[in-house]
Amino acid sequence: MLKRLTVNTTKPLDLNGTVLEVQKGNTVLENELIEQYIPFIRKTTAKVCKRYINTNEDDEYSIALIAFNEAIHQYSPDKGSSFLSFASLVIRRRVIDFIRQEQRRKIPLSIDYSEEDNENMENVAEVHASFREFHQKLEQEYRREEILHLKEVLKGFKITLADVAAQCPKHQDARENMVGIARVVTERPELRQTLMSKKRLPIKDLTRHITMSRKTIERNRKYIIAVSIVLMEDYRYLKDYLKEWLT
Amino acid sequence: MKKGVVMEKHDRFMIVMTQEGEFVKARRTSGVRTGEEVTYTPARTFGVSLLYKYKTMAIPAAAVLSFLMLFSVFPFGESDRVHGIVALDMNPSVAFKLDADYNVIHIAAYNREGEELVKLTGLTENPDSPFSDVSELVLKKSRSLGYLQEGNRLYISSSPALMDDEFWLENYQGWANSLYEDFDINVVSLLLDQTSLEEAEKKAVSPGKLSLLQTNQDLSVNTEDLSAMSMDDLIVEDTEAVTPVQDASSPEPEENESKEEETNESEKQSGSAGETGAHPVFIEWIHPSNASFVSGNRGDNGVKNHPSERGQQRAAEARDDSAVAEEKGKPEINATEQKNRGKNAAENNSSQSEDAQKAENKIGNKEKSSSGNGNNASGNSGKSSSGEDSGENGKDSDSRGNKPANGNIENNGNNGSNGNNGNKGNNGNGESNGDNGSNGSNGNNGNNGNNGNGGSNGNNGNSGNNGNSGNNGNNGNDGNGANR
Repeated sequence: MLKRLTVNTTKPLDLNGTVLEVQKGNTVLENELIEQYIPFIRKTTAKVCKRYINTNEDDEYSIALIAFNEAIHQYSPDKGSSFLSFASLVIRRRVIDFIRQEQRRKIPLSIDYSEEDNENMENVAEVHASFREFHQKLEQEYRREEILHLKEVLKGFKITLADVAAQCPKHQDARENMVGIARVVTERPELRQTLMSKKRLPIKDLTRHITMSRKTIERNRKYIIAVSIVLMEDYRYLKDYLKEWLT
Repeated sequence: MKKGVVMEKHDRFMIVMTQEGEFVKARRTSGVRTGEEVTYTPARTFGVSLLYKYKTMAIPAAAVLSFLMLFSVFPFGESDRVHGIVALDMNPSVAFKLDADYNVIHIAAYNREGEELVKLTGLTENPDSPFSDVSELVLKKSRSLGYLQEGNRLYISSSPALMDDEFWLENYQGWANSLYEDFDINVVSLLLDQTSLEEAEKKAVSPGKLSLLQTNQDLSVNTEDLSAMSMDDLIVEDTEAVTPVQDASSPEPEENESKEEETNESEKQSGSAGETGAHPVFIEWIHPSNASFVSGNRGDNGVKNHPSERGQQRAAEARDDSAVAEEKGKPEINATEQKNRGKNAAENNSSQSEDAQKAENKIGNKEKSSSGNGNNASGNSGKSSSGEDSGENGKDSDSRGNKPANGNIENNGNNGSNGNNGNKGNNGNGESNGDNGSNGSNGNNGNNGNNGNGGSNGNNGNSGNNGNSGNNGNNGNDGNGANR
């Protein structure tokens, strides 16, 4: 038990430390790190593509490798819960981008191409609508990946989205209060540390920083955890969707 | 219409996140993908979904529901309801509460003897065992303790609910018969109404006694003392007020009739009843509100007892008068004498050596020759029916000294109620009880003795009775000695 706890707390620190080291220009360590995490990269890619990833043939894999490298350089400890979580998000995003591009490029030019088909393209409103729809679809796809990621993280806390829905405050004011609490959690390293390593809300420590009663926190514990994770992780599209509320 | 991003899809609902950060359980709309922004309607939070929501409560709820259904079939608490009460008074006063199956569900003792008796039987307060078993156990125990001796009376008071019950009534007759045969005791049955039963329970007094008390209100006994008195005491006292049930043959008693005659009459009645029936006559149901009472005696016993009782009572009255007169006449002497007597009595109580007795006797004789004579006369007359009897009685009173209860019982047979007052005065002084028995109507004196007691019971027991008791007892002994 104790061993497990210590492992949990030290391992991400080690990895995060290496990442920071690589960012300073240690290329040897960079190669080591990427090689070490090939299985992780493959796994993440396979999740997005929903198929087995062959390291020799699949373009998605090389895209994922590039994305992982990008993640190493972009990562900062205050951005997400952990480097791996951040990296998986970046990989997903990049792979989705690639798949989108491929699909667009895959549309074959028909030999029987006629002007009639092109007719629609001239309707500006229609073209605009179709572009918007495309963007929405794209956004939706990104969000989907982010939501799946969120669900995975929440699973680590043994929380389902149904639990979150059940504990969600009905009133906007109350929810804003909860966001306030979540912000306190994410902004204080020691609170964030206990949240991520012990997988529970440090309620006792929290009460020192906020005025709300312990009971209120306890009642909405799962919701607060969910919001904290949304705030902590690099959920661009989810945050974009919630931007009015979060700011 | 609200809009939100689909977060999770379930079979019956989906979870949607609105732009305001609210997570909502929404009704499933077909053809949506996770991450898509949709318009939604909140899921119903009632009906079946409510059960799904409180899944953890489902099993307890089901259990409670099934329990309710079970108990709605059978009336609630049927098994624990008191169906009737049967109270036994043989000086230990015990009451059994019975349920509909005649199981004793509660035993209540109404006086100290009763408590002891119940304790000795090893029964718990709520035994929940058949009435026949419990009553047999209690009666056997009380016989072994000496409460139920040949010729004693057992008063059985029962509630009307039981007596309306035919099944019970049949069994009761058989039971009472067997009691009479097994224990050789006289059984007196009383029927009480519900209100008096309740009142008895409230006052923690034996219901039988209370009803007797109620029938003559002028009886100056408070309920606290009641529990210590035996039924026989009450009845003899009661006979003043209680009019005996009339047989067609028996003449109507006049109101002016003296006490003795009344008792006589009632006893006669019962006696004759006993004589006519070869079997014991015990059951005549009397409602207390009728202010009537019938005692059933075994024929021969009754006949024997009555004249003696009458005689003794008369003597007792006479003695009483003389004692009172004496008291008035020489209060100072009395006081000194009492002291002396007290000492003697103490000795008497502790050792009951013959010397002490003699000494006391002397004092007693010197003190009140008149009253002493009176006592002697009464004692003799009381036992005049048979010389042997008196001798036996005398012996008894000696030996009885050690057993207070015995003293009571024996004396009661002859003397009636006064012995008990004396007992109260003595508070369990065995020896003096035996003596007091023969004192007759010194109830008041006995009480005085109590007031004076406080410190030393042993001495006061005798002195309390104003010399009568001590002397009387001794006189009785003397008489016996002479007889011997």
